[in-house]
Amino acid sequence: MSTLTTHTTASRDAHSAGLCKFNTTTKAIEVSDGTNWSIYDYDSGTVSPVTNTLSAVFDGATDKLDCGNSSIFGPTGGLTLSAWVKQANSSSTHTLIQKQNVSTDGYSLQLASGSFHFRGTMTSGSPITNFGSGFTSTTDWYHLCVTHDGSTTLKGYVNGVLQATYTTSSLSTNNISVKLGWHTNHTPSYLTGKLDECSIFSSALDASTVTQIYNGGNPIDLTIDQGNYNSSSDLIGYWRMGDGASDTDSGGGSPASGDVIGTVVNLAGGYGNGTVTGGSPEYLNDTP
Amino acid sequence: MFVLPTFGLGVIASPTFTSVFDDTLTFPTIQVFDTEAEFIDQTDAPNYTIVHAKNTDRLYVWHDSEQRWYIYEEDSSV
Repeated sequence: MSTLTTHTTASRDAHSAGLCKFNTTTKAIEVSDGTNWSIYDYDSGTVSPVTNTLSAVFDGATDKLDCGNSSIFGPTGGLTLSAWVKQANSSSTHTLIQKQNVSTDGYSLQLASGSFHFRGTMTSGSPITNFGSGFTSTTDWYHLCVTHDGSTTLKGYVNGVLQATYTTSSLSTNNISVKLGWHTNHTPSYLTGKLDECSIFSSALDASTVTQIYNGGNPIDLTIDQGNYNSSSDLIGYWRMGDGASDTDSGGGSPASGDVIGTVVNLAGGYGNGTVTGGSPEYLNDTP
Repeated sequence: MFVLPTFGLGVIASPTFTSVFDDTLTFPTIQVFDTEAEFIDQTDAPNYTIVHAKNTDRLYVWHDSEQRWYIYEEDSSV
């Protein structure tokens, strides 16, 4: 078996040309040329991905999933929204997660004509925060994540990479239900494409945690702390789009690709299950 | 220098019953997979196993106690 032997930063082995070690302190691969160590820092880490066979596909016209209006979904001490999306076009506004009443309350995570948008709690005068543009692929999955620290700091990440940081107002709550894949307040917009692994946290996840959730493009089980992810206790919403143990199709059976969605269970608690309130969104065997 | 090993199709198949990891290889010859997907969800690699995936050109080191792969991006190729 090709396994590396190890040493630590504090107790590196004596030099020997060609000696290759795994540094258990820094996780770097280190190679000696006889005099110096060449150090190869790790670029990322991936924990074992969660089994993920299904996503939800929305038609961009009538398909709706509604998760209800639990007060738990309106945290004021911090917030993180996370979702994976594969858009069918890059010319319309795709709403991923939304809990918004008026333009400056609540939250809405969107991919709009290739731009990564957050609507809701923010500085007065602007209903949209734009974290960047150019996210136009219709063949790749994007992981979009927004964090708010509960005070004034709003950050947006794409595929685990911080795009921008903005100063905003504090979080505000409302009595609007959480919606997945659609948005009907002020500017209606429906997702045309696929949505998977949606989650909401009651805290602002830090950069290393967001990178771990992205996990090199391989979603992880958010109910279990692993690697640099240690925020399972802050998870308040987690919808796996057919891969939750109790998710169902419209007939009450086990989900399969092509089935119309019945219930998408919130794995973070006994509340906020997603049910179809319009159209006929389906499960599909296309996942990140 | 890493040398591309040869291995039978059976080595990378049937992950349910047979480990995908080739225990006949000894460092510095490392196992080369066609795709990251062939091993990324496997958790039976011995500690500090190092492998390469051709579809990503990355190196991966398995850290068993943390149950995670550490990833090393390719910086250039010749």
